Amino acid sequence: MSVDSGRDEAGVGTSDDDDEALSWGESSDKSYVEGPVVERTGWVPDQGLEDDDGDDDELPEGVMSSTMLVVHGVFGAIFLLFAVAWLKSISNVAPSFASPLADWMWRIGTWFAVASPVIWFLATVYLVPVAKPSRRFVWFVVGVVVLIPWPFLIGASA
Amino acid sequence: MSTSDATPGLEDEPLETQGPEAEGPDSFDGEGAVEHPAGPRAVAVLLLVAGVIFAWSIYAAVGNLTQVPAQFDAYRDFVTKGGAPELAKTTPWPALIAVLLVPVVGYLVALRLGRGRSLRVRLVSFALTYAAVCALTVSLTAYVFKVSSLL
Repeated sequence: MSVDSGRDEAGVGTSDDDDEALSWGESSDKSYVEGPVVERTGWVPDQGLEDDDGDDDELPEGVMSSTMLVVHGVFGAIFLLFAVAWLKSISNVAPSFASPLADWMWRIGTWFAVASPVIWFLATVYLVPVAKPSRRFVWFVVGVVVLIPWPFLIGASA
Repeated sequence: MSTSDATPGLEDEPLETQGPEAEGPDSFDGEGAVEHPAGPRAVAVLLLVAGVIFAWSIYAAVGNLTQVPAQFDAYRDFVTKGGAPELAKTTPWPALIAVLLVPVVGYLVALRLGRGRSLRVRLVSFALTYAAVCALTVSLTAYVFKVSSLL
């Protein structure tokens, strides 16, 4: 059995097939299928980078940088941990009230306290536009400082 | 985060001065750049409802401010007469006053954040500050419990 003869047989008659494989065919071909026309209605990278000031580092509107994505992930995790800490410790702070209304208002307040980290995170994302990453970062930091779950940390109970 | 963007303070450029175009496409409303200021009637209702809710926090704080020191005084007299004045505890006045001030500050901050903005933004602002007020109030109350251990 000759190896060379086998290679020759494989090479003969396949050159045209290779050329056809490298082309999409023509519209007159029966197997030709016209693909769907995609309209580019969204953000176009080339257009977004053509600013008047020539700042190539500035991202187009509505696009968050990878750094800010990481920041959102980190602060989201922190706020989620805060919410869990509030949930774990809120039952330890239960003063007694004379009226049912006061008792219910306190309960509502505790629910808001448990949800406060989540509310702060979502409200910051909603209120501060993505084009202001520094301000959003500041709001996240303020939220972390304000919403520290002190009942969980100091272990207060009543 | 862009390094070229200078870090502004929260008061340097309040949200209401950003203009409608500052509303990012990441907003929940999905309305993009369109934001209509809230009508005066809707604003009045919102301010009234939020005012009542925040006023309750102030009312509760006033009650604590008048009742908790009396309990500390009674406990202080009790341990002093019992010959153990070292067990007397100092009234946590800073925490009690802070509980009174927190709702006021929260209401004013929500007013400032939502000034000239849509009703939804105003509502979110009040929800944000009320949640923070509740968290701070519970934290300060827990602190009072911690330092007193008599309530």
